[in-house]
Amino acid sequence: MKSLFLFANGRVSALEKDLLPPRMWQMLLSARDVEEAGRLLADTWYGRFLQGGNFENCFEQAAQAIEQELMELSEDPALVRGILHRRDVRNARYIWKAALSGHPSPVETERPGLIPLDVLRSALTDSEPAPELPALMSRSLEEIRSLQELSPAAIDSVMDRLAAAMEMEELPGMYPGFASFLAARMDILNFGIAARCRLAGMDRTASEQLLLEGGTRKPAEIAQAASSGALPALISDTVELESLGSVLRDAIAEKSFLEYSRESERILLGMLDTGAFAVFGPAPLAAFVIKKEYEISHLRILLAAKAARLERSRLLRRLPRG
Amino acid sequence: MNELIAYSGVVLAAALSGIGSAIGVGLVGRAAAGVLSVDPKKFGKLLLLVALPGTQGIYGFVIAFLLLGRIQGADMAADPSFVWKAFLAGCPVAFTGLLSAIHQAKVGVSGVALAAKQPADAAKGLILAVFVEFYAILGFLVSFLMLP
Repeated sequence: MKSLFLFANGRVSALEKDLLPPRMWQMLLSARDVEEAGRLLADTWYGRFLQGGNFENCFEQAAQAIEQELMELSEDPALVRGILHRRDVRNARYIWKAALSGHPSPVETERPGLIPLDVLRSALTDSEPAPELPALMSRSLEEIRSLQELSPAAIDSVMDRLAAAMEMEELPGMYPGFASFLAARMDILNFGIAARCRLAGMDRTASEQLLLEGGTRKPAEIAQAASSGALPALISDTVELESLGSVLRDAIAEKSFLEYSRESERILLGMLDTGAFAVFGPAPLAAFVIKKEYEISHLRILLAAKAARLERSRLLRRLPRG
Repeated sequence: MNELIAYSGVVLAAALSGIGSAIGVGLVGRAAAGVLSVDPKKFGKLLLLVALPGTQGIYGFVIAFLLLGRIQGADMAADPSFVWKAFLAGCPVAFTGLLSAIHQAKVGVSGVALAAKQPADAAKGLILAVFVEFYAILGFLVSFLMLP
């Protein structure tokens, strides 16, 4: 019988109350300094992890708690793989890029997802791919090895495609509503890359190679629009991203993508909040985990800004909250 | 043979609506258990949503019980159509009970999520689930009116 995730989704419905409400974001944004923001945060779900004002430790523990929920509640291993392999890909990027560019000291990594860091380190020298390494990762490693010019940009390009492919391999099959969220995210990424390529004066073929599969718009279509200066028109015509047309136009004109990033995240958060996710299936659990990831990432930005005494108006240019 | 056909009505009424209720209560129960694992104070709000798909089984049981009484006191030789009347009388409550309990459970699971996220709207989820109940009641009434 197909997994219904009934217990998981019931639990997630109750856990969603722990997400910070808009009012709390307003209060955090209005906090005078990082101490006041910390006091506000101590009264929320994060309070249980906040010891001695160590925010980084708090967020690390919070992320671990959410992942623990994911692993305990998920009735489908594909969901756990889809979520946790994203961090493995990031770790692989740090380790492989550093090793291949002759970085002398051990590189800083994130907590391992499902693949131990030693496996990622030894993958570069192993003649046979380790069994823990997913096929897509082994293929990307082969691609990196076969690169004629081993530049950081070329490695990044392969790893970007790997990150997209790993995500699109496991997650979209879960539910159409969640698949449209992932496709929108991929479109946003592709439009951003294409706009930057245009500003860098790259030709159509070169920019198409940097674009990722998995969005509603094909890379060739986006690259064509970029070369003809029609990116804002194309994004205005893309489902869910209609409002980004003028934002992308301004971003290209001002050569600043801050507003584009913020508006994109606002759209994606909106899709997660109001998207018609099925009650039966893994999508609500996946959406909850991703919402928490966004929340933690935004809190990190907010607290860093408060510590640097950044003005509220400048902070609001980056954060899609409040 | 005639008796077997008549008793089939009893079996259908009790079994199918009972199966529907068991599935339905199971579905909503699992979702409610998920909410209660975080917020045990919601038990009162969720209890009705869990119990609601169970009513179809009761309707089926009542019709089966009444039908059984009629069959046991009937003179089937005098009325040859009795066996089919008895069989068909069990069908409406059986099929509406089976299907409505499962669909009511689906509404109930959504209601559980609603009650967890927006406790003030918990009653709305319950009302929506009650709409499905209406068709189980119609099936029950038709079966009752068809009793031979």
